[in-house]
Amino acid sequence: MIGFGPISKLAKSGVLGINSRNLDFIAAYNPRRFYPLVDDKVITKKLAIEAGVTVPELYGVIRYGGEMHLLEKIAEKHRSFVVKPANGSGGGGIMVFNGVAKTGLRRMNGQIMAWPDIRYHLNNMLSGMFSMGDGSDQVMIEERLVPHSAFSKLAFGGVPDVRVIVFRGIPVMAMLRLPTAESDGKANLHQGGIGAGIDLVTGITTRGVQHNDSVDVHPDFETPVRDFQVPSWDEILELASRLGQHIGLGYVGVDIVICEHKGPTLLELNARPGIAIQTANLKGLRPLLLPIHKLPSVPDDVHERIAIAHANWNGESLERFLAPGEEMRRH
Amino acid sequence: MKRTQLLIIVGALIAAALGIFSYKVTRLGFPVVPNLDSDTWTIEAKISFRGRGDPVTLRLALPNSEGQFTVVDETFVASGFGVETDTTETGRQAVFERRAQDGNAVLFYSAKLISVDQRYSNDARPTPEAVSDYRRSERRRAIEENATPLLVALDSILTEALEKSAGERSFITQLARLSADESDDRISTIIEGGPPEISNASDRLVFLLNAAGTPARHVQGIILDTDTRQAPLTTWVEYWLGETWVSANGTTAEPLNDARTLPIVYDRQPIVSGDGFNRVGVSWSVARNFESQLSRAMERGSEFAPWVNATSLLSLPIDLQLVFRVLLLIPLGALIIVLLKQVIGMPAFGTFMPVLIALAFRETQLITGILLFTGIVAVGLLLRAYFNQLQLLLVPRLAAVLIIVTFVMMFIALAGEAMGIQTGLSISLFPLVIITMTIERMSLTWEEDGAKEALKKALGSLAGAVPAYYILTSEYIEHFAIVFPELLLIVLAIVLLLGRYTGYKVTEYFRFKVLANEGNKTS
Repeated sequence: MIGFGPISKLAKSGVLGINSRNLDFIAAYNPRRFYPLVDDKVITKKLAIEAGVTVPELYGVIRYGGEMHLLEKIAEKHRSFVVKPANGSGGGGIMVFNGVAKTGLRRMNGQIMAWPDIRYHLNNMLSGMFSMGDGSDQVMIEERLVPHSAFSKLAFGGVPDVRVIVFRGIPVMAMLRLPTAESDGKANLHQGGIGAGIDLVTGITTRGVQHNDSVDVHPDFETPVRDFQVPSWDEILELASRLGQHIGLGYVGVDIVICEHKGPTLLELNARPGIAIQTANLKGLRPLLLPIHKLPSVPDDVHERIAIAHANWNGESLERFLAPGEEMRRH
Repeated sequence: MKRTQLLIIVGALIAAALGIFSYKVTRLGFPVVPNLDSDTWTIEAKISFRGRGDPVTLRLALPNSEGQFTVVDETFVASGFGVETDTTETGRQAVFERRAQDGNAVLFYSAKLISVDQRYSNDARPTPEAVSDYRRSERRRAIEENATPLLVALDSILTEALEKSAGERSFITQLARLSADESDDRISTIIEGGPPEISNASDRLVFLLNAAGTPARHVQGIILDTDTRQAPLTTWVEYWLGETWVSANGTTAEPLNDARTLPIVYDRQPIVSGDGFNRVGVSWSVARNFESQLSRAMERGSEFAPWVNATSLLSLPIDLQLVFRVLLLIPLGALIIVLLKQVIGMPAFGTFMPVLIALAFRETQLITGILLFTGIVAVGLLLRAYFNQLQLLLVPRLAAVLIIVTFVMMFIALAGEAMGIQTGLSISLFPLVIITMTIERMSLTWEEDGAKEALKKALGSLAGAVPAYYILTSEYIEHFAIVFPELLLIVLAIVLLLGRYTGYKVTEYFRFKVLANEGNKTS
């Protein structure tokens, strides 16, 4: 597309805009009927187990206000857990508890949240306040994932995760999302978390951004955010690729937590992954997506797909991955 | 494939819209620009008086249909009085009569005025005669017989005006200039020697014009300007120029806009006369009816292309037309939203919120609208924060905010009325719901993403509402929408095209500026 001045610069750098993401990739590759599979985290969990992917253990689901006592039982049994709306978006409504007190539950920051406040919050979740679409929602109670010890000096008061964009089952770009004091323990970038670009081949971080500005160190620990080797990187890529293929959505964001005990674990899937990952990697998505778009078919074997992902990241031609007799698609 | 289909649809829509539009403009003569001068007006007179217990006869001078306006739909509200209209030499009158009236009484008269294009009224009117005894030939003779100071002064003034002028119109202007100068000895001589009323500038001008042989008369009437409940009775003059009476300023003889002057009485006839009452007061109110002056085009349409009229909104009753005046702006609002969201990338609450806010502003005016909106939203946010502490469920909480907002609007309206400020809060349900929804969305964003994000979106919504407001209140755009609704097909075509827009948004340029600059470095 020919544009004027600044816009053509943007096009040259291969930045994927929201309009293009929606039309060229989401509308073209994500059939609407598959959305509930990723929007409802209870269903996602089932699918992930089918695909042989590690997930946080589900302790229980609250569907109605009357089932609230379930929470007390689970709290007694597990003491440490997460509550989240099953159809939540953007991390809204999620609460993490790690202990039981007489008057309520202990949150990660040490404060006690009183039972009436907890019930009120759960009621808000059930009435769909934090959810996509309209109407009611369910509350999931699941295992609290303990982040890998490598992150002890990189994540403030929350769980860091890795976001991998998977296109046609092939990982395309990834970033590490680190919670900060400002983001209140949440890893979401728009709330003030740090996004660190990752070299897709090696799993080593390349740079960090916070609020769209480049940062070199984590503001709370002053530890460098670049040149950090993300643990279990190959497993992460494999998990993302496997799930991306299995779920039936061509263009999907896979959020993975690297758990101290369970290794890479699926947190959630996103059918409309954001485009901020480009700033974190200082790289446009478009030149990485187009070669994969042109592939006439994608191999079923997860290792072959990861080989394609590596070559694609390094900017190599994907011709050699064509099956005999196949040709690249024109458009 | 999808692209081709879309382009065909878009092309067809644009072709259809332009085809109908150009047919209506070139063949049927539908006006492209609204004619703001030729709307119709409603005037209302309120006559209050006090009866003395005697029989009452009250004559009210009425406007007639001889001039620029045709008077239709006259109504009288006068309980207990007999009413009839009467045309005498001095003009039309309404005569109110009652056997006995004690105490205060109020009578109402209202009428609709339709401006008629003089070019199409073919009543040949006889040239009126100047009523003066001082016409030129007689004046000469009179001066020869008896050179009174008045006649000499008059002759000198008229001769000077004649010498300094090139034609009839400039003669009148010169005469007015001379007449206005009371320090001139000749004028003071005329004032002393002439009829008693000519110390008044407009009466003097009429006297001088008549003396010069130009028929002229003194007029009392109403200047139709803006909607007002207290239209003052104004004085001006009319003189005969060419083939018509020209309304003009009583001092300078500058012509007035004929479409805006409504004569009621001539030559100092009383507005109200009669007997059996005292303490009489008359107040006039004027309101402009936005009734379209497209009748000529419509008439032609019914001759050449009946389908145009059948599909025209102008054939609907006026109250339904008013509904469509607002309704037809919705597509434009939708277009603005599409531009703001897809092309500019403005942050805002909800999809159509800015346009809904703009539509609410349409009823309150922009500045009051913004003030009221921010005020009510601020109050609502505080209350919602408090309700949150009370731990109410979502829907009841929303309902509570809605109720409180209703009360806040009620109090603002009452307080405004008490202080005599027009708040424009004569509003429907519509802004109420919009404000409540804004409060709820804003407080949610506030809780989840912080105050900065919430204020950013609130400002974005307002910033989107302002241009939308200007577009939705433009008289020209409203005219286009109601007279040429087919042009909205073009709006549809643009929206469809933008539906396949995969280019960047303006805000994305700022968001990915780093990347854009990086791309430049490497290449």
